[in-house]
Amino acid sequence: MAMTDKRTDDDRMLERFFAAARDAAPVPEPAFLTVLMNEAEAALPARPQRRAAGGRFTGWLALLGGWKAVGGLATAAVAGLWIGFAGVERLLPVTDSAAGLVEADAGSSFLADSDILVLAAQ
Amino acid sequence: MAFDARDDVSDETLLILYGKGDGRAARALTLRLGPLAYRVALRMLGDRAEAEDLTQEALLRLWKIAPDWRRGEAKVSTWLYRVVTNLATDRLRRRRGVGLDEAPEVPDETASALERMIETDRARALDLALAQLPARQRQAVVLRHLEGMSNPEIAAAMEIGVEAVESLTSRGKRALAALLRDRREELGYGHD
Repeated sequence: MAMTDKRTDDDRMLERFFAAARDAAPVPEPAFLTVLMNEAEAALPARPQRRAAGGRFTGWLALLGGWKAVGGLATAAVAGLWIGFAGVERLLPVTDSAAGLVEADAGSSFLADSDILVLAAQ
Repeated sequence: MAFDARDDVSDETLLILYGKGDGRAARALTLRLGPLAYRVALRMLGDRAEAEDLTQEALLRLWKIAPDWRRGEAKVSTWLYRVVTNLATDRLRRRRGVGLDEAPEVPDETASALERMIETDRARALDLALAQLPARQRQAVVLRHLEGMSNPEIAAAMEIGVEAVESLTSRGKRALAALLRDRREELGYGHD
C-alpha cells in the first residue's frame, strides 16, 4: 500500500474512533457538579460595600466634614446674608475698630435701627 | 437576569460578574466550565477520582483569578484548558516518572485490555490507546480531535508554537493508529 493511501486509511479509521469518543464524552456526576457549585459560591469575592445607611444626605454630610463643619458653614452663610441686608458700611466701625484703624465709638452701632427694635422686642 | 449554561452571555462577562461577587454567574460558569474541565482531565488522566480532584483545583484557580481578570486579554476556556492540561501533565509526570515526550512501555495487561475494549466499545478503546501516548501528544490530540480546538487555540493553551502543535498531533495520531490498526478488522473498519 502506498504511504499516502495508508495515511488516509489511518485518518479515516481514527476519525471513527474520535467520533465515537466525542459522542461518548464523559460528563461529571450531578453530585460532583453540586460540589463544584458550592465551592464556586464559597470562593465568591465579597460584593463592593453599599453606601452607608442614611443614603445620599449622609454621604454629602460626611464629604463636607460632618455635622460640626456643616454647622459652621451654616453660621457663616447666615452672617453673610445678614451683612448683605444690613449694608457693609454699618459693619465698618466694628471691623476698623478690631483692626485698630479707628477708635471704637461706644455710641456707634452696626445694627440698623429696625434691627435694634427687633432685638429689643425679643 | 438569570444565567444558565446555555445563555448567550460570554464566559468572560460571567467571569467578570463573578469577580464582582455575582452568585448567579458562579452557578452559570460552573455549569459551563465544570464539565469541560472534567472531560479533559478524565481524558488526560483516565481516572474519575483524579479527574474530579483536578477539576476542583482548576476551577478554584479560576475563581481566584476572577477579580483580576482583564477583558480581552485571553479566552476563558483557553485559560482553563491550559490550567487543566498543565495540572494533568504534572500529575502524569509524577505518576510515571518519565519525560513528557517519552512513550511509556505498554504493559501486556493493558494491551490485552485494549483488545477487549476495542471489541465492545470504540470510545473506551480510544481512551485506552490515548493513555499510552506521551502526555504532550495526548494533550494535543485530545484538544484537537476531541475538544475541536483550532491549532492556534491549542498553541495558546499549551504555550507552544502552531508548528509544534501540528507536530505533536501528527505524531500522536500516528502512534494511535499504530495502536489501533491491527484491531480494526475486529471492529469492522477493515474495508472502509
